[in-house]
Amino acid sequence: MAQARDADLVDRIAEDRDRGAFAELWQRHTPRLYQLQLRLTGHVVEDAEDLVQETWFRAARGLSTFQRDRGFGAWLRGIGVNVAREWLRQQGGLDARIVDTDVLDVPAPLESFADHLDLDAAIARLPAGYRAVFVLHDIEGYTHDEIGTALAIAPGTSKSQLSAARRALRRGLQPFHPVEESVDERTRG
Amino acid sequence: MNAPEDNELTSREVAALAALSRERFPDAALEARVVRSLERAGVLGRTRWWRVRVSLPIALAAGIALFASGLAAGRAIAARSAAAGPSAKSAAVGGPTAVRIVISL
Repeated sequence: MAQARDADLVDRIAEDRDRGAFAELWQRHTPRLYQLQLRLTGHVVEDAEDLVQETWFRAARGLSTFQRDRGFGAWLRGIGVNVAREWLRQQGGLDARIVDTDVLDVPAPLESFADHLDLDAAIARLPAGYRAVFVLHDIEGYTHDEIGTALAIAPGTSKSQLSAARRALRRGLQPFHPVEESVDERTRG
Repeated sequence: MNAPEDNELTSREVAALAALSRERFPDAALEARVVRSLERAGVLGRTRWWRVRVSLPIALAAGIALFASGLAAGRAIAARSAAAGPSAKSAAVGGPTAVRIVISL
């Protein structure tokens, strides 16, 4: 039996409030969304789950805005990034982008961050603002303009944060500015 | 401070990033949580359980009715056969007699 298209499943939810159609979409698209939210939250499972729930809640209530010519997964993750941005702002995480001179002044590269045994764990230790830009650009493939729109920051800020994030990863993330550490801890808390 | 363009990814780093998993399944309880919140918001229907609750007794009743009607039909046929048995037998055996009676009349 042929697999139903995402757009058809969306129609079934919108028209019939069909739980089966929702379950199918959930199976298809949640794993990628969840991995994204895990990375954006620094692998704090409870926070990532909350963000996934809020993302699906907004998506399901806003199905009428889904454009059939756009991939459902990309549309869903776009909502997910918006949700994560609001969460980061509430946590004070995006404010942590503002210059961490300890990180920025270190000459790069001292080592390749490919040497990290657990690269995901190293990314999770980045300050939230750096982490968000790094994840969106280097893992999810966003451009700086797209990141600027998604996180409501200037593209230039996105570039400088990405640069700082890469250097921080190459340095093994030591040492961080104390202010950055405290902001990061709040983000995780 | 280095300019961003001086800080490009090396090929090893690109490969390391590409090797990172892109998907992870959350705990199954999360789906149930999301479904409940969407039901409360009226986005997803609770109709599935309602349908099961209503349709199960109907299906049972229909099954019983079908069985009972089959049983009744079977009994009716059996009774008719029993009632018709002797005449049928006599028709087979005494047919010519009946014909003879009609002719004699």
